Amino acid sequence: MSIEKSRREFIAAGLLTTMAAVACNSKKTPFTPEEDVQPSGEKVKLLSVDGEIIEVDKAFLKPVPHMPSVSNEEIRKGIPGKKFAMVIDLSRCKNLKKCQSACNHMHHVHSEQNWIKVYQMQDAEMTAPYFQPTTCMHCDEPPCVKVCPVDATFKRQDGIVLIDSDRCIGCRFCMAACPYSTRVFNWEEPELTADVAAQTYSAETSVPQKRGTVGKCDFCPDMTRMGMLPHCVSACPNGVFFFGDINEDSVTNGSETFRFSDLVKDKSGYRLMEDLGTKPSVYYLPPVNRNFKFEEGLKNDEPAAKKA
Amino acid sequence: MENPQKFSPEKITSDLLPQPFGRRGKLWTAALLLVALIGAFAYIQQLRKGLVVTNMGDYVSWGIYISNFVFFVAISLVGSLITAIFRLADVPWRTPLTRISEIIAVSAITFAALIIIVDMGRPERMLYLFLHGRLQSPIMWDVIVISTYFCTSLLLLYITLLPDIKIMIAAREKLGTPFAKFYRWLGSFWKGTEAQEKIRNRSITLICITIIPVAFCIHTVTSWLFATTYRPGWDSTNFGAYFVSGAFLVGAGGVVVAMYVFRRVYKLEHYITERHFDKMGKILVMLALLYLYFNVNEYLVPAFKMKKDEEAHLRGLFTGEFAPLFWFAILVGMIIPIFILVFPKGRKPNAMFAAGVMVVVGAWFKRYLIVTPTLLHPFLPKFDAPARYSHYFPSWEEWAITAGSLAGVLLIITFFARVFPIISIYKTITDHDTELPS
Amino acid sequence: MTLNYHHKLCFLVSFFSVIAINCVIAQDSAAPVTTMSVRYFLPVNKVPYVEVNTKKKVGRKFEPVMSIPVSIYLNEATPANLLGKVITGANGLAKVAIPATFKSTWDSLGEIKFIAESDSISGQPALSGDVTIKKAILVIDSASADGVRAVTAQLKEKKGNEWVAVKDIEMKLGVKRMLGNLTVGEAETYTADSTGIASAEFKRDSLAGDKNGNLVLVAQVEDNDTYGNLIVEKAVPWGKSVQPDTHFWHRSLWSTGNRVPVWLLLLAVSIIAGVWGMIIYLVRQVIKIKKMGKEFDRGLTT
Repeated sequence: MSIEKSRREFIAAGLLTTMAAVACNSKKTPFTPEEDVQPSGEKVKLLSVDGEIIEVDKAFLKPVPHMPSVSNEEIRKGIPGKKFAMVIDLSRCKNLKKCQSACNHMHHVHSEQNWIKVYQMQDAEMTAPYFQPTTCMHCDEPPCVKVCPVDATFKRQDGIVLIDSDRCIGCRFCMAACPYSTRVFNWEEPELTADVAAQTYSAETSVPQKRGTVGKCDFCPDMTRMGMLPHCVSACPNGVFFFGDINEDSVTNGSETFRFSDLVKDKSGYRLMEDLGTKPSVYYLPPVNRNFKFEEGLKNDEPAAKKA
Repeated sequence: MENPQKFSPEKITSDLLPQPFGRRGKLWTAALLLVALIGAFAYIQQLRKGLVVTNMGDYVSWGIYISNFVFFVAISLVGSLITAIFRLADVPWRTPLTRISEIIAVSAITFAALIIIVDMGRPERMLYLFLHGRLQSPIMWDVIVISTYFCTSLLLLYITLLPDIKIMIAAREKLGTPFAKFYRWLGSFWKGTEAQEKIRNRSITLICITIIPVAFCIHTVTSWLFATTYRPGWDSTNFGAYFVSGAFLVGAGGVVVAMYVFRRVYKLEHYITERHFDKMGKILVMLALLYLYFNVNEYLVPAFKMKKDEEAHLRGLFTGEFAPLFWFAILVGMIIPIFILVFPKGRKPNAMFAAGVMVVVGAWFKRYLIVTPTLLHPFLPKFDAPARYSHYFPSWEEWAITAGSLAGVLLIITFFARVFPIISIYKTITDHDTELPS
Repeated sequence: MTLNYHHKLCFLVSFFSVIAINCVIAQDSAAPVTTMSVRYFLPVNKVPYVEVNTKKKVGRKFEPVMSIPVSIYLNEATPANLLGKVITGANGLAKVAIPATFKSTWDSLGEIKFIAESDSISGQPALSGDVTIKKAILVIDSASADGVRAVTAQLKEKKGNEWVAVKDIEMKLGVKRMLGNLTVGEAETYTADSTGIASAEFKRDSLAGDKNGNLVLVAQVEDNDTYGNLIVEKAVPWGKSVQPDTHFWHRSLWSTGNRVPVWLLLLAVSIIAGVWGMIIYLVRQVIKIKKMGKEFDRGLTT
C-alpha cells in the first residue's frame, strides 16, 4: 500500500514536471516565431547557433507572445478551422477536484458555485460507482443557444459555446434548457478583487463576471489562442482531461497526446445523454481498468481532504 | 332574460354608471395600494442587491415569478373566451360578463409582462429583445404574442366601450366632473350614427375572430417555454392544450369571482342574475372536467411508464415533498368545484363564488407545481452546488412582489370599475329593447 | 493583459515580457523555498535563447514566482559577460537571446555555460542557476518508399567546423498539432542509433492535415543534459486534406438571430403580418369613426 502510494506520488510528480515542461516549450509559438507573433516593428541583432548575425523582431522573444485583444465580433465567430473537443477518461479520475479548483480560481467563480462538477455516479443499484467530472458539453445542437432570445449565448465555428455577459438579460431560459445542469447564475454582485473587477471583460475569459448574468465553462478559448490547454486540463494531476481539435484528430492532456479517433474507438468513448440529440463535444471514456479505487476517491470528499 | 321587470334606459343608465368609492371601496383600494407598495419596495431591494434576494438557485432558476407569470397569462385568456367565443357563438346572456372578462384580460396580461421584467437578472437590458432579438427563441415568440394580445385586448375593450362613453358624457351632471375631460378625450367623437355603428360592429367581429387564435397562441407559446426543454414534467407534446384548457378554467373561475363581487358591491342583482351564475357554473364544470382530462393525460401516462428521469419528479408530486400541494391543487382546483357545480344548488351565487375562489387559488398553486418541482429534478444529480439550492421556498421579497402584482391586477380592475361601467350600459339597453317585442 | 518591460543594457538591447493570464499569483510566503532553473533552447536551428524559471514548491505542485530580477551571463558572472537583465513574468519565466556582440565568444566556444543570478530582494534570498550545453543542431528528414513512410532525425554537434551526428540521443518524433504533438508511431521517444540517426515509421495514415493535406513533422530533443532543448520541423504531404466545414454557417435553430431558418422566418413573418395587419386595419377603422364624429359635429352628415 505505502509502496503503491509513493509510486503514485512519484508518477504524479513526474507528470507535473513533464507538464511544466510541455507548458513551457511545446507550444508552437516560441518555436515558430515567424508564424504567429505580431511583429513589434523593432528589430534586434542576435546570434544564430551558427554564429551568424540575424535580425529578429523583438516580439518573438517574449515568454508568451502578446495576444492582441480579440474583438467581440471575432470572439463570436471563433477560431477558423478548429473544432474543439474534450475527452474525459473516467478510469483515471480520483475525485481530486483539482480541475474544479483551478477553474473556479481562474474564472473567479462564486465561492459556492462550480462550473466543473465532479459527480459521484452510479447508474444502477448493482453497477459500479464512479466519478464523473462534467464541464459544459459545448453541444453541436446546443439547447441553451436555441432558446436564448438575444444572442447572448452563442455557438462558434470552433464548436465552443460561450456567453456574452454584456448581452445576457438574465432570463435563465438557457439554464432550464440545459440538461447537463452546467449553467450557473450570478445571483449577486460577484465578489471580485479590484484588479479582477477592473479587467476588460471578454466572453473568452469570462472575467470579470457580472451580476444578473449566466456563467458556465467556456473551454478557455483565451488559453487555446495562446496555444495552451484549458485550466482544468493542465490542473489535473492524473491526466483525466484530454483537449484538442477534432479537425486535427488529436487530443492531449499535456503529457500524452492521442489520435482522437483512435482513443475514442479503442476505449469505447461515449457522450452523455446521447438520446437527447444535443451532440456534445465532450466524450467520456468508461471507468474500466481504473487507476484508483472508488473508495480512495471518496476520501477526497471528506472535510479533512478539502482543507485547501 | 330571467328578470321579470323590464327597465327603462334611464333606470339602466343610472344603475350601471360608475360610482365613487364608498367606505369599503376606499378601504379596499388603500389595502391594495399598500400591498402593491410593499411589492414595489421589495422590487427596489431586488434591483439594488440582485436576484440574490430571492430564494431561487441554480436548480430552481425559475420560481414563483414565473409561475405567477403563467398564472397571469392563463387568467388573461378569459377575455377571448367570454367576449370572442360567446359573441361568435351568439350566446345571448353574455352581456353583463364581457366587460368584466375584458378588463381581467387587459390587467392580467399587463402584469404578466411586468412580472417577466421582474424575473430578469438585467431588466435594464430589456431593449436587447428588440435590438438583438432571435426569432428562434420561444421567449421571443412570447414577447411578440403577448404584446400582440395586449394590443388586441385593449382595442377590443376600447371599441366596445365607445357607446358607453357617449352615455357617460351625456350623464355629466350625474357623474360630476372628475373624469369628464378624460371621457371626452377618449370618445367624444362617438355619435352613434348608423355609419359609425356599422363600422364598430364589423370591427368587433373582426377583433373577436383575431383574438381567439392570438389568445391560444399566448398560452401555447407560454407552455412552450417549458415544453421546448428536455426536463421531466415539461417534456410533453400535450403541453399547449393542457395549458390552454387550464387557462380557460382559471379565467372562467376568475370571472365568476368578479361577477359575484361586482354584483354584491354595485348591487347588480338585476343585471347579473342567478341565471348567469347557473350558465357560468355549467361552463365551469365543463372546463374543469376538460382540464382534469388533460391532467390525467399529463400525469398518468408518464406514471405508467415511470421513466427514470420522470420517476423522482412524479413521486415527489404524488407522495413526496409536493404531495400536499399537488393534491390540494387537483382537489380544490378541479374535483371539489366539479362536485359543487354539477348540482343546481351549487350553481347559486354563494356556492359559485366559493367554487370560483377554489378554482383560482388551486390554479395559482397548480402553476407553482408546474414550474418548481421539475427544476428540482435535473438529469444529473444535484451535486457540487450549495445545499440550499436543493430546496425552494420563496423569500419574503418574492412573496411581496408576487402579492404586489396580484394587488396591481386588482387595482387596475378596481380603478377601471371606478371610471367606466363594468357592465355595458349601451348593450344592456339594446338587449332590453330587442327583447321587448318577443 | 500584457506588460512589457524594457531594459537598458550596457551593450545592447534585450527584452522580455510578462503575461499574467494563466498563472497563480505568487504569494510572498516564507515557507516554500524558491528555486531557479536555467534552460537552453534552440528552435529551428536558428536563434538560441536561455530561459530562467523561478518557482517554488507548494504542496506537491510548483507555483511560479514572478517579478524576480535576474542577470544572465555567458560563461562567467562578470559584467562583461552579461547577456541581459530580465524580470520573471507571472509564469515565473524570463528569457534572453545571445546578442550579436558576443559573436567572437560564441564562435570560439564549443561548450557554453549560462549563469543566471538574482540578488536578494525583499526577503527573497539570492538565487542562482546555471546550465552548460554543447552547440548542436537538429536535422529532420522524411522518406517515402513502397508505401512505407519514415521520419529520421539527427542531432549534430559542432566538431571544429563540421556538424557531426551524435549517437544514442533520445528524441521525440511527432506530428505537429495545436496543443501537443502526436508521435509519428507508437513509441513516445526514439533513440539515435550508432550512426546517429533516429528513425521512426510514420503510422498516422490519413491523419488530418491542412487544406492541401500537408502535415508538419517535428523532431524534438527535450532537456538533454548536454545539448539542451532543440526542435525542428518539416512539412510533408502525408496528411488527409481537410476542407473547412461550412455547416456552421447554415441557418439553424441554434445559429445567430440573423441566420434564422427560412421556414421559421416565413411562418413568423406571415403570422405577425396577418395579425398586425388586422390590428392596424382596426385602428384605422377607429380613426375613421373619429373622422365621422368630427364631420357630424360640423353638421356635414347626420
